[in-house]
Amino acid sequence: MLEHISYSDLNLRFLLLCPVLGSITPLFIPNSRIRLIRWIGLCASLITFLYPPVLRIQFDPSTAKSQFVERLRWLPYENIHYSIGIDGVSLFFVILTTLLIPICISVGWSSIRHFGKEYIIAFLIREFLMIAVSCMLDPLLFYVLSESQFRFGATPYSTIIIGVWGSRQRKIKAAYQFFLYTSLGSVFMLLAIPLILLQTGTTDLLILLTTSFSERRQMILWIASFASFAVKVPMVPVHIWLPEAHVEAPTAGSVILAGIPLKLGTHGFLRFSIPMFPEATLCSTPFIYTPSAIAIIYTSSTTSRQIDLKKIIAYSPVAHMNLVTIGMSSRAAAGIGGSILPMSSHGLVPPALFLCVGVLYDRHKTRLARYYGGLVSTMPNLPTISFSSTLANMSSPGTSSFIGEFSISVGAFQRNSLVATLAALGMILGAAYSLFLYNRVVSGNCKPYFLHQFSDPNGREVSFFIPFIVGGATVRLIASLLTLLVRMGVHPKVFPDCMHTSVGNLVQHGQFH
Amino acid sequence: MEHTYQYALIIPFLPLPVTTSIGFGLLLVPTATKNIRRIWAFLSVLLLSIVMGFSANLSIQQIHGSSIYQYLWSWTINNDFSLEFGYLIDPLSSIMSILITTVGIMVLIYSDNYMSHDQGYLRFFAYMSFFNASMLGLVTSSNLIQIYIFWELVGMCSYLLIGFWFTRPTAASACQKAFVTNRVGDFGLLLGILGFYWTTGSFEFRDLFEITNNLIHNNGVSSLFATLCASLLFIGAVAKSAQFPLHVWLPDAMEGPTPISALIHAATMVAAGIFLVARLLPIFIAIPYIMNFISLIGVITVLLGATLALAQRDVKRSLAYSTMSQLGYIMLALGIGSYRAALFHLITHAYSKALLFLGSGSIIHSMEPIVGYSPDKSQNMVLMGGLRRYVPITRTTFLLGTLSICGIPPLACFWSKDEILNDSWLYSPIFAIIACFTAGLTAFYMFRVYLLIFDGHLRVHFQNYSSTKNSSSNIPKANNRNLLLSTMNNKVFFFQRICINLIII
Repeated sequence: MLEHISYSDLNLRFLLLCPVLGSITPLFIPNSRIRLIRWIGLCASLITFLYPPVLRIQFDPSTAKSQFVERLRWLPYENIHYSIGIDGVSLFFVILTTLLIPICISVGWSSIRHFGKEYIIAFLIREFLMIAVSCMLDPLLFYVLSESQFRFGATPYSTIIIGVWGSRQRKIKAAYQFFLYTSLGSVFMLLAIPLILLQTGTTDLLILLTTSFSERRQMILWIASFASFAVKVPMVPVHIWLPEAHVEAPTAGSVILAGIPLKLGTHGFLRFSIPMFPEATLCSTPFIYTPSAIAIIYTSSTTSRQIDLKKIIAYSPVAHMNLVTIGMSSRAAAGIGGSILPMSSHGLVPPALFLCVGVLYDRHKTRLARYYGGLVSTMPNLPTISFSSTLANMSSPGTSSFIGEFSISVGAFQRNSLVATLAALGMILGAAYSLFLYNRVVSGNCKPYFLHQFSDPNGREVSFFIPFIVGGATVRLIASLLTLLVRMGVHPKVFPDCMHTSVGNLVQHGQFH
Repeated sequence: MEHTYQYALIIPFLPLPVTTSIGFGLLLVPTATKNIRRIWAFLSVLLLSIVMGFSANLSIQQIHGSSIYQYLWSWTINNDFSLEFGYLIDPLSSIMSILITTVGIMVLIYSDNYMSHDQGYLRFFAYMSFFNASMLGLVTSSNLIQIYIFWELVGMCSYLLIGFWFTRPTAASACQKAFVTNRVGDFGLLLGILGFYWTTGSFEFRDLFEITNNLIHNNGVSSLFATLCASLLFIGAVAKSAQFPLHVWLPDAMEGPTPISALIHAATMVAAGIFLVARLLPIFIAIPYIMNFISLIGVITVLLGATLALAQRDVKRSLAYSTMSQLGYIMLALGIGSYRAALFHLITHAYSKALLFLGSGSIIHSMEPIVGYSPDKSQNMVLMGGLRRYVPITRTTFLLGTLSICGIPPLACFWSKDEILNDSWLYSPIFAIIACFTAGLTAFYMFRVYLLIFDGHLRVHFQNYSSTKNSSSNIPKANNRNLLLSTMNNKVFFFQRICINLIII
């Protein structure tokens, strides 16, 4: 991130174009040929999925410089340019995005009855936005793209995904709440960016990183950007949108929402707030620690009382992301490196859990835990899959979330042991509610008054979908998410390899001591 | 013999192929996997006996002089933060691995027959092998992180095994209770690990001991902080070994099948907490307050477990409380500082308690045709009685186990318990009086269990018996039932008898 190579590398352009083309093509196909549209969407997303490994092979993990950089002139007068590039941290998010979108499309294969074409278009545009925001090196465009993921209503983004394809009446209220909460936070950042522009005359990240803002101005800018990021993290007073949005969204919507957009808050912190405003971050550390620690304990306790399966799973990102912010504010190498790992593993665990709940919902059309019980006797494969994901949710050793949580605890403990203790308390409570959810649904007696027919995921998918590979792909893709989880847990060197140089750079550059 | 030491890394991983193959087999080729079910049992026993041979070899080398061997390699490097993994073979870990493997083999052979009519037979062996692997990994760990990882894995295996019969709601809630209680302990353990990492900068045991001792002697670290971290580490052991405040999961853990009660909740998993305290004893010894705390918790647990065991109706529950009480003895011994007596008692108790649990399993299986399969009835001692005529071999072995636990010479537990009582007199008369009193209580409740089950007459017939009415109609039925019991004699599982015999010390 420190040096830009000023040439245009076509790699990323291809990566971004592919979903856009895939989303534009269905516009020309009439609604009646929905199967063709779905296949086009799936192929486009699969092609996009096949490309990042190419990037990974060409990626050079020994430097922290952004690679595959492309700069285009956009607004030359204000010196705002469109610059995208990938470094270690973004690479993983790109891979995650391209992995999740084909899953989402195949999840919604038959359960989305109306507006099928718009669904495919929405998800592919979503994919484009997510990849773009992961690669974006310019703060203004980062802001624009991240907000557009959340709110703008003209094209189908999250609000519309919830509003159109959500499952209950409450979805309107949830979408509305989602919109308002994120707007509230972002408007402050919208004011901060022109302030930066006024002082430095450019939004080029390279120059901004070397600019030294005065301390008072740093505080203002930091608070403004914090307001925006805090809503996205989500931190405690403004976290309500998360359970609402996840519960009301369709399965695929929750999967995607848990994928990248939840990381935007912490990603923004990592990439923009901490490097650009180091003194302000130093001063505001208690200000981050307090809501994060409260959030971990409060949300984990609240989750134990929930009865909606999806809400329980939706609350766990709050705890995880607040753990990440504690790690990031700890300013130790272990803390920051450790905070990226939960972000990455978090892109894999709640999606897997949401998919499991989605499988149940598709069959029984209810998400209330009181109707479920003893599932393992009739659907043995589903609990196997969801147990692995539940373990990962609890940060059990052997899964990817453990290392991250552990590194964060080490880093945080060295800065402030009280906060580390409170964060570790979240570990107990997290285990309690995750296991409670799993236990209630899986063990115990079947409840024949409520549920009459059961079917194991594989069988259902085969009978439902004509191409076996698409149907089984849902379950197989869950399995691949699992292997990724375990692989990261057992051999995490795969990912940190790319990341640790960038992280080291970040720590150095932030002038942390 | 450096040669054999280098291959010691396979000790934890040998039982794993059984787990993974059963897992994948059940997912991909279920019918074929289920057809060769007995072979899986044979394979697990075979692998575990290889490990047993290996650990016996290692411990013989330990006895003959070569002491500690540690081998490390690094796993993750996050800038300056690297996790190193390896194994540490010293006398403590080799004796523990012998214990785990021998009791494990016996329990596996037993459960081949015990679970033979169970639908979850294969799942059971997969979980058992996984548990054996994690436990072996725990005892051969060379640093605190590795212990923590295997600690959690062992807790997870315990969850899976306690909730083995998942359709029972009581089993479902029991496994959850066990896991969450263990998690409370893990929270303390994690914080203790972090605290020590902060002060000493290392997770390795040897570095930890050296640096901590230096710091404490030179007042480099505030003694309050050191005591706090040590007590947090101890909290982990408290949860895992069912000591006083966090003992609540152990009686409910009896919802699991009897072989796992024998393996996990008598011999091995509850020994994990003791193992941790024993491993970290060089740190604890340097902090006097924590030693007093450990012995206090130990003595409270001793008395509490014994008094609770006096009034139990369920045979497995009373054995569970007995385990809790004996673990209190071991913790008391560790708190006093008599390391050898504590570990000696751990080993003798593990074998005797496993014997008792396996014997009780035989009794339960014998009662099931008469009273039904509900644990309320088949484990209920009130309904048993006079079984010595029908299951004489189980009776002999159970009697030997009982005598051993009560501390009757020349059986095993006498020597170890006597040493603990002796050392406790030197430490504090109050603790010694409580410990001796509890030894008396132990004798009382253990023989209560034995006599209720094996002596007298089968009380299940006399459930509705009252002195005034219906006495004449009961007697013909009693005759028929006695006939049933005498034919049942031949049905007591042969293998079980062999295993029980083999466990006798």
